[in-house]
Amino acid sequence: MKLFKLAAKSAWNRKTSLSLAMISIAISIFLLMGVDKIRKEAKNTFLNTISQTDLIVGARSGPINLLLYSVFRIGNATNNVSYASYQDIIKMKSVKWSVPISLGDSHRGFRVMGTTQDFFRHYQYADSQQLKFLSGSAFNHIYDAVIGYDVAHQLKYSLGKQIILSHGIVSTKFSEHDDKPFRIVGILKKTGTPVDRTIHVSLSGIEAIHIGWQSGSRSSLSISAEQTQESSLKPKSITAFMLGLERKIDTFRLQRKINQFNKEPLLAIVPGSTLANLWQMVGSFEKILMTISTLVLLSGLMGLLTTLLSTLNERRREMAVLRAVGAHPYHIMILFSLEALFVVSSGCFFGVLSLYLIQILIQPLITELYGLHLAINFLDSEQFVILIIAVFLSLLLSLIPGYIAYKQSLTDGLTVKF
Amino acid sequence: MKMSQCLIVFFIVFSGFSYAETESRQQNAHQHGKAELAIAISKEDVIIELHSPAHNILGFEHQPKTEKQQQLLANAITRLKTTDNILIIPKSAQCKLKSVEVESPFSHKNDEIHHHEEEAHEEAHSEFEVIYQYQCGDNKHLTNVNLKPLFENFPGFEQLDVQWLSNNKQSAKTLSINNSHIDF
Repeated sequence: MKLFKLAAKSAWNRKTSLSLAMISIAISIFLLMGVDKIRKEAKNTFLNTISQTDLIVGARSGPINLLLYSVFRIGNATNNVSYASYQDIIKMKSVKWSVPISLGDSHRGFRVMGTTQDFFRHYQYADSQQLKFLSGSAFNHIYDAVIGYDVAHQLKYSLGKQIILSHGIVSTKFSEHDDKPFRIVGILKKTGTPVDRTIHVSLSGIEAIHIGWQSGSRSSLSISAEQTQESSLKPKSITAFMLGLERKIDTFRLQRKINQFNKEPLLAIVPGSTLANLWQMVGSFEKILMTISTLVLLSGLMGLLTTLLSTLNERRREMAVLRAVGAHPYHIMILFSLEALFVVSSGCFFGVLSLYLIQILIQPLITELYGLHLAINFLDSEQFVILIIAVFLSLLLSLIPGYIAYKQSLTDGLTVKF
Repeated sequence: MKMSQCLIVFFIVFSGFSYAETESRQQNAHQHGKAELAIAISKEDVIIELHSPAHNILGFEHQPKTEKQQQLLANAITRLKTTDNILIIPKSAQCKLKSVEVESPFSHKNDEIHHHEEEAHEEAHSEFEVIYQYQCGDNKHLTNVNLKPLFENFPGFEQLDVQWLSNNKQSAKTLSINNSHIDF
């Protein structure tokens, strides 16, 4: 206890250099924890994009490719799935529900997705959360559209607004389906998933706007919106579809069955598994980030060591006096260790404190901008381990100046040397 | 007249072709050393499916010809049926094996056909399919599985792509002999 007081008082005498060392450790701890937090949150958001969907089926390509275009709207399908095969598969016994997805058109940079009302019923994200309407409701007519939160927010659209879809994902004046405008009937609540940036229309809507477009652009014989209503609008193909099963345990069996479907080369993926595979690949990037922040922490600790060593000269007499009044050599060592412990633990404390302060400050901003709910959690076991390792390393490093001081105090005595 | 005859011939020939097309020519990917494992966990049932090229298990992929190869095949099937040779499930989950089905690519001995197509089969790849069905007393304790025994008992396995699902979770991992543990 006496040693503790002694160490505190001695440290107070050198408060400037020590507090600087402490700040550098606080910053490195903040960085390390921050990177760890971002890494985990990113993974969560990523894994939370789709939930309760047992299988996603598309044309045979890579599983990751299929996942990216069907769920994240990144990239394009290599092929479409024929509507007949879709019908065959959803008639299979174990299938409970299905949601068809038809992509390929856009509106002012936002992707348009053709689907059925089942999408609003069955698509779930995060922890089995369903889509909710901010205003309006699901589409009922061919020319109805339901838009995601970001679409409404960025383009300042409200219910009843007429919009014109473009053919393809690049908007040009020549490829607009301007003869068949859509009316916004629903706006979805923020989800933090790609749904926010999507315009949803019915499959027959997608078919309707492409009537007379078989050559890739509009044919001269244009068919009016009213006429289209009457003609039959059964789609020939869709881009992909989601499946929910009666019993989850049948998932792999059905997956194998679809993958061996003879009539058409199809690919069925379990979205969670494919996400995990994708994350394994992205994982090396997060490892690099963690390594960099660990190195920053190490340099902070080295800074502390430098500070301790540089004050060694000033403290020669302090040590000699202590030895003269009967301090054991290990007392000297403990003094240094205690000092390092002070600095590092308060560095850890302030680092973690500032991490939480910043999280609390930016949380509303992130919710508004990205729709992500940043969960503010207590430190998890991994983060505790980081802190403990930092403290332990500092104790280990403090042995070096401690040992040198002890050696010097033996030889120096009380004489003043210049 | 000639034109229409031509067309008819054309149609007949092509309809024949299109009929031939309905027979599937799709080929699955097949890579030695790699295999797939799927684990599905429901309330009390657990189904584990292993799909592997025969090469990983036997060291060869043709119809067993010699006495020794016959022996190897029989031996491999017995070993595959003993789950201790494949995986370790925590005891506290109280899992009991209900059934094992080993679908060997050589189990249907249809000698006539095989003699007929021997040459074609010589080069062909073949897959084992093994399905383990468990019933577990306490699924809450079923938190992990270790596939180390599989890698140790069948050195032909180098990489195992595992995907699993339980209640609301789906995930995947690639295992090897030094990294053979899965946490659900």
